Amino acid sequence: MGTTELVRIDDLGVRRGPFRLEIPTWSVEPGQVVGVVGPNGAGKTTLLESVAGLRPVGRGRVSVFGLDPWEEPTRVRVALGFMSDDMPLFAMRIDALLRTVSGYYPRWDAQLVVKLLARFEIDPTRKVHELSRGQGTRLRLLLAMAFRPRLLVLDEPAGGLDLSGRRALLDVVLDVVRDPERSVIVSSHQLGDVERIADRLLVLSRGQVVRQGSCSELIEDGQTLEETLLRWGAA
Amino acid sequence: MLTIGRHAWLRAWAVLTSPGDLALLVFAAWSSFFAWFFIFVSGYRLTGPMTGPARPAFLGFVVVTLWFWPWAVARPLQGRSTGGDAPPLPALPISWFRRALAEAVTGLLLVLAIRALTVTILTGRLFGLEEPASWGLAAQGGDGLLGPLFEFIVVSSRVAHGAAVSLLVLPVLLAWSAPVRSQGVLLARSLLVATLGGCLPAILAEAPDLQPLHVILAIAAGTLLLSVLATTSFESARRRKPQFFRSGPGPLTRPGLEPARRFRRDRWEPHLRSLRWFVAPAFALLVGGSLLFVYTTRWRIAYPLCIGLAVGLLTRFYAAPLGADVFATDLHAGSASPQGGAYVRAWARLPVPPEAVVRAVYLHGLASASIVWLLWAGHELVAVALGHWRWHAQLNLPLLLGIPVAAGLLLCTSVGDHFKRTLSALALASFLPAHFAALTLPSALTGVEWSPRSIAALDLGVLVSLSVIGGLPPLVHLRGRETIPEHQPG
Repeated sequence: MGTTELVRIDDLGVRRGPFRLEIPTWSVEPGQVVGVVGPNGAGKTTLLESVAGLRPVGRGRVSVFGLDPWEEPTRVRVALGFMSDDMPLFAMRIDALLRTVSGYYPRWDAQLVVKLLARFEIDPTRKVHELSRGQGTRLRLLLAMAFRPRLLVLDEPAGGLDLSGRRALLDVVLDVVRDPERSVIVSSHQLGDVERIADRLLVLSRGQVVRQGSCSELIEDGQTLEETLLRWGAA
Repeated sequence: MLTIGRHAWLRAWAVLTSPGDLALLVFAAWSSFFAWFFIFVSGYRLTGPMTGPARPAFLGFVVVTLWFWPWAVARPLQGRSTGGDAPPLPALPISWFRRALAEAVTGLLLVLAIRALTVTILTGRLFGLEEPASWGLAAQGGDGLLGPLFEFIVVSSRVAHGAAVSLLVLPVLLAWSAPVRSQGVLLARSLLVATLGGCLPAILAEAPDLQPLHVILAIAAGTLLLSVLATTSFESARRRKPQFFRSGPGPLTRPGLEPARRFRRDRWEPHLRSLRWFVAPAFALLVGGSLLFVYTTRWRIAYPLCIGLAVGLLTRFYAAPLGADVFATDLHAGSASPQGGAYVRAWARLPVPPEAVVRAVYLHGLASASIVWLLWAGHELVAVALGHWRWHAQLNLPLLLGIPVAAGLLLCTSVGDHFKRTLSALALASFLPAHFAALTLPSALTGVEWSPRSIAALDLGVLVSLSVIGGLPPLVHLRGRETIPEHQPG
């Protein structure tokens, strides 16, 4: 434990209707890519929303950059990029949307935006509601990354992406963690992608932690993440 | 036919098992007791006894009632496929026309069933009377409008009237249900169809020789054509052209400020934009329509049309910056429901305190509803200054109490609180009918002339009650931080 941790969770308890998420302890260090995996209803989205300050915790403590994300959402979100496939976007032209959103981030990187627009093949003159699902996902990803957040939280980022989109996503995530001060938390059902980029794993099932640790510790030689999760009953 | 029947059954089941939708449909059925009466009783006969300023005031009320009534039937039928890229129903193995037809028929049949049930309970259980005897009761109540109205309510609970009304209402429902990609086109199309339908009593009032059925048939044919034309295929053809005119990309960035400061600046910007695009044209329409009505006899028919279009523009203004219009949305919500808190979710990605977003929505609701009221009052002051419609001042002043209800409706829409949103919507929709009823019914029902002070006290009591019912519960959302609304599929 130290002040360098980007995320620190102690004795977390979150209720969402009848569902309850319990995480005794968990942390994310700078420079890490952490994969959160588990079956549907495991609590991945609840955990990521709690980290992003979108959901209050019932018990315990969540700390992001040493701050409580629920109590101080503004200070946390200027350095935390959250991307979820079901987050609505304002229906305007993409260039107008980027201009609008950029005003909220003092560290907005206009050059990175131009680079990502080209990388994700997004035409800024199109309107948001004209985009396909996959293009919408790419735009959401771009918005989450454009201000160079210290922590990037991606909830099912590969939804609707084709093969080239997924490759671009993985490359971009790897680009982010070239900076040793920045980290990525990614939840996905694309286990192959998670296995490829993640340093550490948090495996959840029915709101409980099944395993956590580095990929090399958790996945035995010669096995895939999918086979490992099946063995633990968390696929 | 089997496909239509199966889909109609599915939609009926969906409406009957959703308390909010069912409540709206019951409201539509009960308000139809008044709305249908205006359709079948010729406007000339209807307003014949009225002279002077009361006549246009009454016609205005009729137009508004007729204008909103089809919306109340159409809203619970969520099968429309608009906006976004994930419309839920077109994937069903049924064509859009059959689907829309099934939904329209379902709505009308449910309304007819609720009407018939209500009248049966009222006459049989409450009054202990057989139907012919209840006609006698109606006749006793009978000065002015009430006698024919009660008689009509009993008679029209039969299906024959429903079939005739369907000719008028069906195009509105089809306009609502027919597929369309752009929310703006949906809104424009539905508003135009509803406005044409709302013109009916004015046409009948100004042209007493016309038979109501002929007018209904003409309007139904015109609006049906409009509904069918403005479908997705028509729209797609239209959409390909503007590519040529599309301008190049604009600047992609603007100076970043401290988020709270930026939000304070941004939240007023849409108001200023809306003043130019919505409020100014609406004001021109209102004043123009009034002048046409006052100074011409030939163009009086333009008045309800102007009013309808102005109401459409003002509705858009009321909901424009929020992006969660009661009828459409400016959010790309994907598969999320625009009424399910998508607005607050859309802001949640940005470093803006959620409570500031919610407060801004409420303030916008208060400000825009006040501007709409002022605009309406201003247009009527012009008419009063010209020596017409002195009734209107009496009608409009108490409607100030509706402003907090309108703001509450917007607030509940933005946070996705379905129950309180329904409560506020019902209270807001009841304002004008309750206000009019409080002014006219006491004397008509009791046969005794009430003093103006007593009527004013009753009216104020009714409207304050509605204001409290619709305006107070939403305020709980202003108390503090709330969880960001869950993703709610559309």
